[in-house]
Amino acid sequence: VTTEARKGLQSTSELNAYQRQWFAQLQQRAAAGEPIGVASAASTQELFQVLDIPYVISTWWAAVVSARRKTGDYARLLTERGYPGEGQVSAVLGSAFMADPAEAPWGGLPRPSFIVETASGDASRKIHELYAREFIPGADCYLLERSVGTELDPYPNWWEQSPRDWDRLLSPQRIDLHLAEMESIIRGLEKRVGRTFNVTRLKQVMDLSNEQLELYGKARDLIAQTVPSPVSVVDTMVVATIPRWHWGTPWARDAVQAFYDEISARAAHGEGAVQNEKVRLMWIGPGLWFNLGFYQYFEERFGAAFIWSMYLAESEVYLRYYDGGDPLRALAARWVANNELFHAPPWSAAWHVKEARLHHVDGVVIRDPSEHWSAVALERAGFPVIELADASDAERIRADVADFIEQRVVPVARTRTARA
Amino acid sequence: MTSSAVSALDEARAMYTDPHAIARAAKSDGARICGYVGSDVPEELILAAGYVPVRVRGDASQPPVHGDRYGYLAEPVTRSVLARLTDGTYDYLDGLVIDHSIDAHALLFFNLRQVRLMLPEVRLPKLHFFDLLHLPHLTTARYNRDRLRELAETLADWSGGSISDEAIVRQISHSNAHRAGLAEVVAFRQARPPRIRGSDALALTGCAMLMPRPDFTRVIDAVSHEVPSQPPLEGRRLFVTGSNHESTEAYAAIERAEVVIVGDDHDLCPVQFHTGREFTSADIAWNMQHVLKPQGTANFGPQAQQWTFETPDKYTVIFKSDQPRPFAWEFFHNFNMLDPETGQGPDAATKAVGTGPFAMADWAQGDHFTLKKNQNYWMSGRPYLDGINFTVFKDAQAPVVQFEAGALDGLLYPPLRDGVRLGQDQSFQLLTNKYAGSFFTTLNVNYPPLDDKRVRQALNYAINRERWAKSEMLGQSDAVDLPWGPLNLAYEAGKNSIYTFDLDKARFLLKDAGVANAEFDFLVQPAHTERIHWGEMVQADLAPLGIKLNIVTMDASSWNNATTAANGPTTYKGLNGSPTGQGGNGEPANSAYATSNWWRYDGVNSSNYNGAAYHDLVSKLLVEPDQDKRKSLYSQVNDVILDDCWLLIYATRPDQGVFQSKVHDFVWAPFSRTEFTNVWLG
Repeated sequence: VTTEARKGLQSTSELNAYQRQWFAQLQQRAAAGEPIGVASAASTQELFQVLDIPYVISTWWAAVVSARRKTGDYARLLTERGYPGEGQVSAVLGSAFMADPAEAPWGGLPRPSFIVETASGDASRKIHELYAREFIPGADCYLLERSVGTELDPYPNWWEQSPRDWDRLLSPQRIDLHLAEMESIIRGLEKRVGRTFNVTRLKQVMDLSNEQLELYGKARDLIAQTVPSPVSVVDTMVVATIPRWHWGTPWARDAVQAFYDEISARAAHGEGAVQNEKVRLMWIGPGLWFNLGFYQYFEERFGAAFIWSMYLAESEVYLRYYDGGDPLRALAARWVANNELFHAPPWSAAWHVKEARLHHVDGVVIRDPSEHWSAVALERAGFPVIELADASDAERIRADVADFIEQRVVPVARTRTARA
Repeated sequence: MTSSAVSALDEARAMYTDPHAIARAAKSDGARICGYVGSDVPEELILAAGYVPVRVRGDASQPPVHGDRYGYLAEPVTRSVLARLTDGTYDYLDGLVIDHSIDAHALLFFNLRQVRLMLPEVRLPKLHFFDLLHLPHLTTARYNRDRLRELAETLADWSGGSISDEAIVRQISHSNAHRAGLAEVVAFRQARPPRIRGSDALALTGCAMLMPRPDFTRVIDAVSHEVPSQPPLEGRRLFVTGSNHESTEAYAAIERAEVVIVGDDHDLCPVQFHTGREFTSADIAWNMQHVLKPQGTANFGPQAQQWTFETPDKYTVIFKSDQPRPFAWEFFHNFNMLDPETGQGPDAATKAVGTGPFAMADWAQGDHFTLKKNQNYWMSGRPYLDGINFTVFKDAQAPVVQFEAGALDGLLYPPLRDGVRLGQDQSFQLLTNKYAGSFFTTLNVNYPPLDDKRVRQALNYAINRERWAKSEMLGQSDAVDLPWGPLNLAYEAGKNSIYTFDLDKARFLLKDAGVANAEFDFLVQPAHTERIHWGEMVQADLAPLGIKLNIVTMDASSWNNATTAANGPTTYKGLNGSPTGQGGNGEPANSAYATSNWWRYDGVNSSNYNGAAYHDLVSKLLVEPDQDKRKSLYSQVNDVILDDCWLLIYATRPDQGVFQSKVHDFVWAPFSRTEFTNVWLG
């Protein structure tokens, strides 16, 4: 999150500064007595936006804590009290016990009045109880079910249906359930803040977020079709995250527009992230984006550019149009199955193959054992794949990936270049 | 045949260790076998479809033979299940049902689905994911109900036929008998001194899920017959709680230390009354008969009449109805169980014993009552509170003063202004169920000129809902035309503002009906101050239309006599201002239409209203199981309510409670219930 854009993209250089300014304002509003919301990146944040409730995405806050190397401190605050201290939960819950704000990153997370999470793990209900217990007085915690699609042979090319035909792609009963749960949250929020949920405002938020997602998609397509790629994954990290936490606002949409304009200009001038681009690679799974030397090594040795990661491309999964229908139902459809579309085969595997083709990649590195079926599908589609078994040893990964590029990817890249 | 208890237990241990041989033998005898993963899968449905259910078991200590070729799972037991399903260990399964009791099961389903799609050479059983979810909300319960139907349809499809209700009932009964066999094992464990080791009891319990019923019955019979002749066991008595065990290793290791595990609570806990007596089907039967008596609870009697029931065994009740009853869900939700022994005893009028989280310890009518934690509550660890003391205050202000001074932890139904004021104080919390019901006034349609619906419509236009909701209810109520809350299937936002305050329209309708002057009474109870103010507001608004409204306050008993339809047609002169209404967030319940003094569709209601369209639509609604069709019917009913106007619905009615900040997790449950099960102080 704090990685600076390596090639100095003008459009993304100010994003971190904006985030600091926004967070300072949020802290001021909290200090003035306004209720604050927390939502995970996998659950609806739009409800807060519509009701003008300042909110923080817990995923972002966990990244801030991690970047300041405070994750261990927060986890300790929990384990000292007999709670497990793992994951992004610890960054939010641990902040309840951080006695001195000066010790906390960015002046500390204000105590939330609302927490919205999806029941994403077996322990989530218990964690939820802890939230309510520790964020006193009176935090309202809303847990949403994570239902599962039971289809045996789901339509694999979900991206063809998800923007407008989501009622066909996803089980209507799942959407109904999510919708009913969101309506319940809305009533709770309305009661607490004394304002009414305005559907016209929701439409604006949906429209703005869709526009932003379209722009992400355009940027993704531009990168996919341009050789050399105007930016690498590292360059797109900031724009794929910070405006993402603010979608539904004109600022966030405009930030992505500025990014798109800038990389369009780069592409027009033939400027590439790796000027001597010979090999195009896709990276699936948690990246090592903080370790710039890791990527520079492959650039210098092979002319290899990592041009795809899920961070920019994932925007596709959230695009939902209401097309004159109920925008709240469209919002429910945005969140009800996003995790499955990303990670559950056959959806994830089909999507990765589609993206690999779109981006003309020569090989794929997978650093997530649960994406095994994408490896199978990609290999069947003709893309060399390496699955990194031991994800903890950066040196070992570097050696394995180097061998993989040399032996399997470079020949594919040469064939592609020759055809071009 | 087994010749001794020791050999019977040995056989059980052997079967538990390797259940596959028996399943394969059953298969070769022509049985169809359906595996299941997780404890949420109802084996009764599998049996009703003609399959033998076998629980699929993993072993975390065994690495997968094929590595992660068939997908990766971090959770070790489920990872082993995936390996065994793909390596041939379970090649005798015809079908497989996977539940969602843990997240890893969803990943198991995704991986198996993908194996089917990408590696068709791997032989797998037919597959079904049973997405039963677990949040304690009505929304989840409804979703689960549909998933259960879906599972039944899948199993019927696999079996090539259909699953009859009779087959399900029969299998529930058989399954209960099957489980009752395990009750004997429990008795051996609970004996002093114990007669069977925990590890053996665990193996026997596991066998019940791992092998065909006849084989299990044979083993359990042999064990039951022979254990009593064996010497009792010695050692300290230990109770085990926590996650399920998929093998006896941990139990056996513990019991090597001169310990006997005499109990555990991994899955089940029997339901008991507050007295400690076990709750059985006979108790449900007694409660049904109790509400069917003439003096039974008015709201339940007519609903209970819709069912016949029988109790084939201790743990089974079969309810039957001649028609679909879509409101059965709400009926059983609201129908609380009373202990028959107390209910028929000498203290029946003053004591209530049930199965809920709190037991009644003390009650002085009109003064106070005390609840104590139910130590036998079926939900392990709940309730958190040791007890709750309720005081009934006759003076509205006294409890507010005591609450603010900290002498009370909570105050249910505070005076509205005090509730709102206290809710703005950071030290307190105001918890509101906004859609508990609705405020409305009934009109006696037998009393001219209210027999003309144009006059009733005129009154509906002449009442200023917005002003009252804002000034009297301080914004805690919404002005509405219909009583249903947003989660209600009958809710239609667009129809809630048909009757806006419009004296010109009212005047026009009155003129059209030929009414220049009229005089009505407005009956109201003195305690309903907000409704008295409503009457005064209506009185002022009607005056310029030439309508005189006399506000008549009467005590609750007299008001009841004057407005209760069950006493015969009502004769009040115009308007009744004190009904307490239904609505809220559940579907308009059966009780609303069948039994409510305000809503009854057969003409026996406080308004003497007997519209043919209303009768026809509600008659259909009460037996229509299809949700979309019900929604359409509700919409038509709403149109009738708005057109015939025998009820002037004017605002939502909230339930409120204020609590000290140390009180957590109080909720207003559906149907205006207070829910203290999860409340804790901190």
